[in-house]
Amino acid sequence: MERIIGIDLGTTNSCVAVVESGTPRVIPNKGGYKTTPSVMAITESGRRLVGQMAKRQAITNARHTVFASKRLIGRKWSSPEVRHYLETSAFEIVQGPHEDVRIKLRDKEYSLPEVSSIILQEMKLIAQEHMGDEPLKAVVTVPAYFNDAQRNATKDAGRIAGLDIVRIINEPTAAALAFGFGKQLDVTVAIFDLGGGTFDISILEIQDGVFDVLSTAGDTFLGGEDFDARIIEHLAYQFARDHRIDLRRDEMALQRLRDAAEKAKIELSTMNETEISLPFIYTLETGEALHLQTTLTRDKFEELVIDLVQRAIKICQATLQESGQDVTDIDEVILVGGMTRMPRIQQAVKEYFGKSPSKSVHPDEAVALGAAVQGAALSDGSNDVVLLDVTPHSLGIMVHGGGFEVLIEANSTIPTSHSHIFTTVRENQTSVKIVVLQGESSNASDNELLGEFALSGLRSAPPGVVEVEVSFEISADGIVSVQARDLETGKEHSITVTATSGLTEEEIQNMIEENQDYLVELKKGETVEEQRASIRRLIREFERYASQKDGAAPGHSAISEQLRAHTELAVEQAKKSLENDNLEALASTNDSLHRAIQSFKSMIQQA
Amino acid sequence: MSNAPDNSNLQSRLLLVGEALQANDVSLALDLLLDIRDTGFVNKDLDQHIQTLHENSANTAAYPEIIPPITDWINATTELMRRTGADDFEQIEHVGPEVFDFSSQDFVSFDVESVASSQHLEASLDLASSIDLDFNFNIEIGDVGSDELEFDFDLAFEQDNEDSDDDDMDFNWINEFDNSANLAPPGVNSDAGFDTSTLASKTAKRSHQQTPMNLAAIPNPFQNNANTPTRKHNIDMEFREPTNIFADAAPTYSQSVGQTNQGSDLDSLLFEEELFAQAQSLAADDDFVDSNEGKPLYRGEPLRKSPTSDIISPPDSVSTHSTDMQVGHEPTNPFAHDAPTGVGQPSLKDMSDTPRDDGTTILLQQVRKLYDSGKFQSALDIIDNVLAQASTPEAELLKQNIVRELERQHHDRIGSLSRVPTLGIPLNELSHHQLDHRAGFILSQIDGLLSFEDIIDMSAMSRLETMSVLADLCDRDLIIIR
Repeated sequence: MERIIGIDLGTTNSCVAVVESGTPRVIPNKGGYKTTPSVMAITESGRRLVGQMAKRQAITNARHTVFASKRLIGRKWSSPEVRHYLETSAFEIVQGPHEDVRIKLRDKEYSLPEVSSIILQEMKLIAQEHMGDEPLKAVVTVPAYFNDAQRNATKDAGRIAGLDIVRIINEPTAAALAFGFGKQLDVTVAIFDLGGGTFDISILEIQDGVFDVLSTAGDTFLGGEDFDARIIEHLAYQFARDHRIDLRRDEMALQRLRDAAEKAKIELSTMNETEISLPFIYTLETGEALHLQTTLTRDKFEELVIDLVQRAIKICQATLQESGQDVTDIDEVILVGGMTRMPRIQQAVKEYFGKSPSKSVHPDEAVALGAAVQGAALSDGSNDVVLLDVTPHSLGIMVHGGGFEVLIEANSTIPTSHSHIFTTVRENQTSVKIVVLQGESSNASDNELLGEFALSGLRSAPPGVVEVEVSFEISADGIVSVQARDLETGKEHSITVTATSGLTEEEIQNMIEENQDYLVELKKGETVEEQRASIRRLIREFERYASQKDGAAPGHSAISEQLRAHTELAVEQAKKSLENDNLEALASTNDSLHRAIQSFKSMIQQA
Repeated sequence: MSNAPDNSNLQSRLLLVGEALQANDVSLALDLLLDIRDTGFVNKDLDQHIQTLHENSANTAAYPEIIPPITDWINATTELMRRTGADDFEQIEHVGPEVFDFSSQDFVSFDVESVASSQHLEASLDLASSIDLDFNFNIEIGDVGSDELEFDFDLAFEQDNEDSDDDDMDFNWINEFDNSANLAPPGVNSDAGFDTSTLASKTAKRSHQQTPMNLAAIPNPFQNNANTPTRKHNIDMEFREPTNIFADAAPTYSQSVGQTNQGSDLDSLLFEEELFAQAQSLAADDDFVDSNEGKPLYRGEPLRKSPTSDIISPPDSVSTHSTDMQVGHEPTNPFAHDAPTGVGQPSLKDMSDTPRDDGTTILLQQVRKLYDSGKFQSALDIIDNVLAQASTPEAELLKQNIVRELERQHHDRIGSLSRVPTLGIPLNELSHHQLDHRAGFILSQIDGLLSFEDIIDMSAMSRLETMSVLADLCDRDLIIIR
């Protein structure tokens, strides 16, 4: 049975999990960490860095490091989110050829699906390292508010990474799946997800194994990084006060500050105070080195970030109001995201919801584990888990005066359909233009255009006489169909809105090929390590063999002694060659050593 | 061949002959060699040795003279067979030194630690004689009376080895032999000035680092001297007194053999001045260039292989030996690297076409002097100043070469960049050391997971600066390899 992995493709961190022997578990990366930063960078030398390494140089190589690209995926160049990002991003964002967004790193433009594919590929490699086989299928999670274009872009990212994304599920749904795994639940839960870069609150109803997202909301610019930033500011202020030097102006110092701030933040979740030591953080013109040495208490930290905590709680209030629920209706509050480890946040959640949050799921792993559970359910064909996705945004059409008429409300469970009858507005109007939009604004122009078409051939009549029925339908796969029909003549016209990621099929194919080339290069690098490992194995083999022979037959003939000397020489050469990075040289040494040892062994055996 | 050779035992049979010769049992050795020939192996050296043994088997007084060459031949032949996997004389007849797969370190370790160094020396004399050195310059060296072998080194660029794609390797090879002859070492301690003491003891290290990276370009002594037992093959064999079979082919640059570097910094600078003056005059002499039909000429700068820009590749192998850039370390040859300096630079003549003011010209000349004398850091400082005023392709290219040389030196000090360093001392003890914020940053990146290459890539500093800091930290054992 093929195993389907679950990937939490997070804004700041990603995580991969798989169900093994009936138990979902997270697969750690090479460094032993269960989450991998969703950061990629291109170094000056052209090397691609992904994950922890990319994160650790994010400030010093800010212009060529992409983080939180998820905030941009599937968005149009003209969207307000992209406009906002253009003002704040350290890396260069440029307009793509299809009104999409591209990121320029070291003179090369990357599409957003391409960037995400690099993260997905890293997760795939982590999974392959652990599983030893080729997990080509995955369930990937996305925020509940992701629209069709964003989901489609995520799917394209999977294709580029050589990953078959069999299902995309909402993050809160995945967290609830992890929470409800192996339980028979009939509850309403709030998923409080405060990750590295975003905050989401979702209300779900779990009933008879059915997970129904009642509502979802959040803030895409509120997360752990904001908490880190407060510590950085605090440290920089302290240092400036003592030395009249703003460390934030020095990117190496700032990088160290950022690393130290995150470390301190994590430690303060379990300790009341933490020591921050950054020796040689700055060198004066006189040559004197300055150190940053301070202690940060939990109380101070909470004081620094209290407004951020309150902001998250306010969003919770709004979301509950929107879903028509009361805090008393919530049976369980599930904490997701590393930032929820902070005691002050747990306390704030408890105060607001009136109950202690559940700690039955690991905040960093819950989403990936839930995705893995869904993957397992899909791979074994069981229907134990039924997921009901909702449409995250309202769908409707533009009406006279630039207004937006909603036909399908946000958070409607899919599949769904809805119809509404409209009339003409002008004298002898023989055609109508149906502009399909997605969004929450009452102004059509503020919402996202999904498509448009015209229904012509209407009979000439006064305004308000001709009736046109407009029907919206969303299939289980999230495909939106819109149909307009003249009720009198029966004449109709329709469109199917197929969201695109902003990439053409040709572009995707090119990216797939490029990615495969990259993997080949990557393998080549590994081969160097393999050659080294082989040489080390041969050296050990010789040393073991030689020592055994010494014990067994201390007196050798001059020939064998000479041969031994030859072989030892070859071994010494090989040891030195381990310093070499040249694949061909290593391979050659490997061969020579192999021959030398074989010859030595055969000679000894003959003797 | 009447009989099919018994290939499987040829090596061991030859080694048996060697054993017999070691025991001075010439009769047995002769029998064994005859036996080898009788089983179908054909080789003129074999025939010659049989003949020699046959003629002298009764003359024990001649043994010390006749046995070593035969032993050398046996050792060389068996070693080649072992390395190539050959099982016949014919198969090794046309192989060259490339079969040894030496990295620079490998070769040096032999050269320094074994008798092979002196054998190399002898063998080199033949090689050196084939090289078209600029004789005038050797004379000039003699006239000046300088003992600065670094210029001998430069002269080695003058070889005319048109068949070779790696002529820059050859000069190193020669210099290697030069060192082995205990010529006065250059004593150039990078920017720290010339070292005038303990020169003899440094010969080995100098020899070490000047070993050519690519031996393939070296004329094959096995081929060229088929009848002569070459010592190159004996590098890993038992010590024997070398036989100076190439004594007549002493290279011209050996004039400075026996001289010691007693010159002061001033002397050396004066010497540089003269050399460069001459170099420039040569560069300006079109006829001189033409008359040599495109042969590389000494131009006061290292030789390039072709008019196009040949970029030096990073060294395939690295030396763990420290360089002269280190404070408190024994100064070594600043040219100690695997490829020649300055490859890829435009010729001075070409450069002269570039219009520039005199100040820049003088500065660039100074940079070249520093570069040629291995004072790369000082050269870099000046070229940075030049570039700050006006960027020229020439200066940019020169800087590239300087940076590359410095990186190479740091690389040698660090070792393989794929290794993963760890902190040599606890973090809280770091503040007791004299470091700066750059070192502080680098140290903060060391976590036992990142390799040197990773750290270099992640650093906010340039590759050169990062490597320099890493090398210093390695030297001070603040970072170590477990």
